[in-house]
Amino acid sequence: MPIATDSAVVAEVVCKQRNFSLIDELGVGAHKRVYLIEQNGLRFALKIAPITPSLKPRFEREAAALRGCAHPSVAILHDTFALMSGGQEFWISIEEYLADGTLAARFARGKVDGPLVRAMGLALANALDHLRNRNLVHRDIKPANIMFRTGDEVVLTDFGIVRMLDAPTLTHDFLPQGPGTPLYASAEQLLNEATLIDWRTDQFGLALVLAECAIGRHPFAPENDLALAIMRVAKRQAVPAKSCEQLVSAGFGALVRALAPWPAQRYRNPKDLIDALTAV
Amino acid sequence: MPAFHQMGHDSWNLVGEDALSAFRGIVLSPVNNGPDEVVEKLNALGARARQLDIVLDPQFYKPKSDRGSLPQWAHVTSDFETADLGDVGWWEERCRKLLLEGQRVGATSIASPAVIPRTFDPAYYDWVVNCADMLHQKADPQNISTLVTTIVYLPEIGLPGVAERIASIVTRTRVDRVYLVFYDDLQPRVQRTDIDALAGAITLIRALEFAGSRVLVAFSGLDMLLWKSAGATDVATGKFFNLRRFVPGRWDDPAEGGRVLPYWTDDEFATWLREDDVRLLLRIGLIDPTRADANPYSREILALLGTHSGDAWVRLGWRQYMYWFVQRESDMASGITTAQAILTHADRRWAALEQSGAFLFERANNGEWVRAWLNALLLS
Repeated sequence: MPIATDSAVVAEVVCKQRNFSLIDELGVGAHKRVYLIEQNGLRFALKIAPITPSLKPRFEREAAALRGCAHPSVAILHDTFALMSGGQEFWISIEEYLADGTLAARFARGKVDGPLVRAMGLALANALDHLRNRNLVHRDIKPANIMFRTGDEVVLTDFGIVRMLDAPTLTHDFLPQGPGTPLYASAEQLLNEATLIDWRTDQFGLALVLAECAIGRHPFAPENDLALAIMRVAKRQAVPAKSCEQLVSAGFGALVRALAPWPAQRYRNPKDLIDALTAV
Repeated sequence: MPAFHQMGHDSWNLVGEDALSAFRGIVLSPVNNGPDEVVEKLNALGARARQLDIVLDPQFYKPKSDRGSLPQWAHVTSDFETADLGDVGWWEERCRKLLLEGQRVGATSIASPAVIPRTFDPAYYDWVVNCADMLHQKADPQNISTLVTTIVYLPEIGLPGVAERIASIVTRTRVDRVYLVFYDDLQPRVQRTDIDALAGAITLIRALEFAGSRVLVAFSGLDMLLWKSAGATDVATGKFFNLRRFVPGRWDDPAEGGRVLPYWTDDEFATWLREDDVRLLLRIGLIDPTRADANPYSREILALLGTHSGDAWVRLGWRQYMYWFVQRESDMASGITTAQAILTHADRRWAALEQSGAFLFERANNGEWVRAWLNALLLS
């Protein structure tokens, strides 16, 4: 039976067991399907993923990470559990439903305006501070993982590859590339340098997203060649001069430091990033 | 912008000396003094001790517990040689005892435990940071600041990306002070001329300071000129650092001063000179006694040499060096002079020596590092 069919069956089972109404399918990710469910007039996102031996530790980490978080810009996790259906074990998570969609969808509709870019930057930098205090690194900050609760209230979602710095790494050192989405990954992620991963890795990802919104394209791709952009980041090149100029004239020159090739060259603390974003 | 006094064998008298009062801190040496002796010596310093940043360096560099006064310190245990150094719990206990010892002797700061590794790879610096974090968690509530002890192998620091990688790992922690130890393989008084290594060291200091870490370069000598130029807030030296450097055998050296020759620290040549060479340069006019007057110990040494009494001036040599160090640190920190200016002047002096036709008795003392240092500053 295909996973999609499996997941739909599992969604129905979960809803029946826990007194939810299944409203609709919201989307599909690399490992999971997401459904909109409702209980007592409140809406939730139901995420269903088949469990494999390699994925289970990541699901457990994601759940553990989110359970320890309580921040307005971090998605709320209500429940997680494993469920057997048709001889296959599934990982179930029930999260808050973020009604106003992803930043990726907004960006696809047109350039995001400067005040919203700044507001998103400040809210998410605050969220990164919250994560840092819990030794967590998200490692996959990108427009698809940034959502809106209502209006412009921004929320960081999908902690599927979260790294807990005080737990052993799940990443294999010998692999040429570490976890993350290459287009939004820092050099240390692209080069799989586990000892360099910390909150400054997320800072790079966030700055890249904000810069993309501010100037309307990937800051490392003035010529819109995204493969070249990834190569530039992996080679630890500085942000191209044209992008720097555009960022400065858009009032986001502070992001240039956050996009520096080495973590030591970026802002040391989330507060430094917040101050820099506020100062402009 | 302080200079720190790196304590060694029988160094306490220098701490209380009026002409050397510009040193703003001391780095305690558990190899040379037990905790009771440290308490006694600090008490003897009275008000002066209360003005000092007193850094306790646990000296875990080589896992041996029987050197000098180390066995008197609670953080050094008899299982040091046989312990599993990869055991986090073992290090946590070392940090706990280190903090207790720090409190007992009145330390204001503690350098985190760090051993000299077999290889200086990222995993080592990751461990270094974790160890510093452990100490910081215990020391911070007691108002004792922690320094991340960062030992760097100088011959490797010039490789591409090494300095930036180390800086990135070391600045991951919230501990914002670094106790930087450049580990070298050169003989005493031989200066490094490897431009890439020096430029890498300068890059590392710059990167750390840029990231908000306050760097204390430990075990400095004349190379302090480079480290201050790189932006190091603090530099430390001791009376023996006109002789020794942080090399593999450093902690095996007998901790006494009896066989030490006197050395003159010459600001104009940026070098150390033996007595024969001081006399030679005086005779050919390349040591200017009036300029030397700026250092009270230089004046005393020259007066002594003038008597031809043959009296030893080792102790004056130490003081002359320490005075030079603290003055130059202050001059550079306040912008009165720069490493480039000092070294460019030194280059001219070495050229003048060559033109004079005279040869220093100490053959290895040829000033060849001066241009290497200038180029390292240029290329970093």
